[in-house]
Amino acid sequence: MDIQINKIPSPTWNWLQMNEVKVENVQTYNKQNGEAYISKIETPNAVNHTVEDEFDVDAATGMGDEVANILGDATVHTFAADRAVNEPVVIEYKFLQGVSASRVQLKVSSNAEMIVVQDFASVLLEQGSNESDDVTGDGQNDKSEAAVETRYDIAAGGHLTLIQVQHLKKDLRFYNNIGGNQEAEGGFTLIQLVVGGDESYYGCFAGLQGHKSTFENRIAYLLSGTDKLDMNYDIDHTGTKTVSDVLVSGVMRDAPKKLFRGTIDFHRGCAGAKGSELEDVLLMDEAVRNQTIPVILCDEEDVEGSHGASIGKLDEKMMFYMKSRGIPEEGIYEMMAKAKIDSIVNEIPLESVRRYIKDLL
Amino acid sequence: MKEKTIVEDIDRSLYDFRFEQKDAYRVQEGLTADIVRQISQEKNDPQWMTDFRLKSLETYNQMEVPQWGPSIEGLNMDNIVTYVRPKDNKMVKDWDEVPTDIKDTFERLGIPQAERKSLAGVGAQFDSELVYHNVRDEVAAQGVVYTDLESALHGEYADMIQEHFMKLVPPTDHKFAALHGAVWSGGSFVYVPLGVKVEIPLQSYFRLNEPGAGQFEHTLIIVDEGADLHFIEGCSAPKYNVANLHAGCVELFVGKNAKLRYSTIENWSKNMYNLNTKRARVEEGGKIEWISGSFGSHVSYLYPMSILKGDNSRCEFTSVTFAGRGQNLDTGTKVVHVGKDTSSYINTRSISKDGGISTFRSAVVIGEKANGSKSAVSCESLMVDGISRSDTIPAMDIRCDDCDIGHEAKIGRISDDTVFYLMSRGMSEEDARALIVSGFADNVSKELPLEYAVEMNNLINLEMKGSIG
Repeated sequence: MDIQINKIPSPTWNWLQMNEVKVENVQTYNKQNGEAYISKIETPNAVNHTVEDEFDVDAATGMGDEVANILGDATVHTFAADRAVNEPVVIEYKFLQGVSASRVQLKVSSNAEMIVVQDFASVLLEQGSNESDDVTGDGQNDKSEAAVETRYDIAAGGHLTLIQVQHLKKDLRFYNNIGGNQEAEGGFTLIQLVVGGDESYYGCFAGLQGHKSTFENRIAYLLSGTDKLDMNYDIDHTGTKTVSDVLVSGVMRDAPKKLFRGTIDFHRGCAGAKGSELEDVLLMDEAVRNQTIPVILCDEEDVEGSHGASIGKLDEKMMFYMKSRGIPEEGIYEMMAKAKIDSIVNEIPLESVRRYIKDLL
Repeated sequence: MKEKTIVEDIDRSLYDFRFEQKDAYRVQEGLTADIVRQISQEKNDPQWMTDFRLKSLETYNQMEVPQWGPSIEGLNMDNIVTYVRPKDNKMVKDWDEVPTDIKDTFERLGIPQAERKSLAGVGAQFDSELVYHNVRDEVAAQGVVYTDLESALHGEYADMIQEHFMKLVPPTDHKFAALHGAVWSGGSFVYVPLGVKVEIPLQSYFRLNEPGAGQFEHTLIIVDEGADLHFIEGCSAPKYNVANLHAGCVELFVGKNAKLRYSTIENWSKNMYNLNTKRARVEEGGKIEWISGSFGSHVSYLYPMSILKGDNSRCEFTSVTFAGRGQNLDTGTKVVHVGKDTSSYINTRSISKDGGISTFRSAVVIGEKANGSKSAVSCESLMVDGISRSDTIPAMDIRCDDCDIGHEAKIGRISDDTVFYLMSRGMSEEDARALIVSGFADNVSKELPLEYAVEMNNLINLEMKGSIG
């Protein structure tokens, strides 16, 4: 089966091939296969963890509906907080060969706070194992696939911090889809680190419905080899005085491909809203392919929107300086990559989570 | 409490006049192979052009209407007259020989006055045909060719035309390029020889008078190595209740170390579908400068494209788009960096008011071999009221690492503090807002020749001055 995901809300010229992405030959997850790929779930006492068959949070997502074809009947894990919880919920995934899927709901009650860490890892697949892997039986090789959809619901004055770390090995197609809504003064901080993978799709829809609700997004990615990263972020301002702030920072070396779609959508009535989006990409090799489409849609007069992008190689003077100090080119890459990741990790409010991630990386 | 401002629509009496042509020659409405053959026969096309037209029609019939831009549902090709020739039309070089009605039209638009004062040559097109073409003797003496494209097809430049015609914008590019290939008529051919610098601009002015008609002029400019030209294009039409269509095509070839500035003040009436295609190819060390002011049309799809083919070639794109009531203007630019050390600078302003929709759309592509290339994009949008819309859709596709790409965009409203400050200095609110908008659009006005900058500022003032309550 083929699916089209990550559709940009306002399409542009088809020849750019940026309006959406078509993923061919996807497989559907079946619950009967179990959840062996969820290696650990740590839930603080103050957070209620339940298991359901279907989502009850109704929200759009960044990737769109067609990703449901992979998610199949995956179990829905719901985590709910009704007060401020300082300890994080930790969900560790170790994706296996074949198809893995997980659905997660995060519910934050009025004036409550919750921190959730999702750790996306995969076990090393057998060398060349997917070369002969034909799960769909159509005579074509199928990559292993893993899909996670996280929906959230933040009530008035609540705050959710979601930290996602991807350090996947090769030969895996990974889908990370997020969507949710926020009531008045509800805050959502989304921190995403992509430091390893093969073919990854990221989508996020942030519904800023309530007055003064906020969305803060920090993304850092390091791509190398022939990695592929395809992203679609849609920040939907409908509430008055809503604020969004997106910072995307990446390093690309060898021959990876990355496509970032970021849309700030100011709907009529969101008076006083502010949205900003900034992308900073360091290109380290001549075979990289970097595509970016930062969109602002504005149907309201009283808003402030901005986006900026800075894309290029490391400044020659900086390179010369570092080399003159005896740092080899490879070392410079490592240093820049570490700086990008650290700058994002350092924004994580909890020391224990910062340490957890640094240990992980 | 904030005081809301209502800005009235533009007073278009300057452009909104027309005369009825009873005896004009028209082809039937719609688009068929017979109509295309009829136009070809009227134009006395060489055989290759007739074949080209018919092939383009096939392409047109096979292609889909674009799905990504403003709606063009109100445009029904079955109702469009693709060719209208004024009665007793012949292209003349003496202004006094232009038929009186047509002459009056251009007089009211100020074309002959501009020619006398500040232009090296003028072409005036009325509906589907050029009615006047003239170039100053001293410019002609330099070897500069400025003529109508049809004459050029049969003269000494015939081979040059065949070599370049719709090579930059092939009919397969999009549906309306194919339409243009099938039914084009009128337009200008300019050739500036090696090393010649044309000190004052050339201008073509396009006037569409006929209701329910289309204008499909083709502009082909070749600026040879080391040469320099400023070309100005103006367009307007009276308003009708039926849809009019403009699907022109501009192809610009900028030679090695040559420079071409292409300025447009577009002020079509607000029943016009402006589906125009403009493209430039720039050789080594050459430079293309686009200056673009879009004020008219009901719907616009307008994205001048620059292909920076040669090493060290450059592009500057400066534009302002002003979308008022009933207008959906989708404008922007495309730049493809092919050569090494190429650079592009894009600086645009969009203004939306009175329910108008403006969209800035761009694409910057840095090719695999375009090492050392630089691109900077700056786009700003201004929302004048709460019933308008402004979108920004810029795309960047970078295929090599040795490049430096910067992009910034801002969207906002007229600052109350600034209006208050100007009012405290004795200005009315209306004047204060008009001044702020004029200042906002000064990226374009300061690049235009003085007479045109004044005209553009007058247009903005007309747009902004209405009743404020």
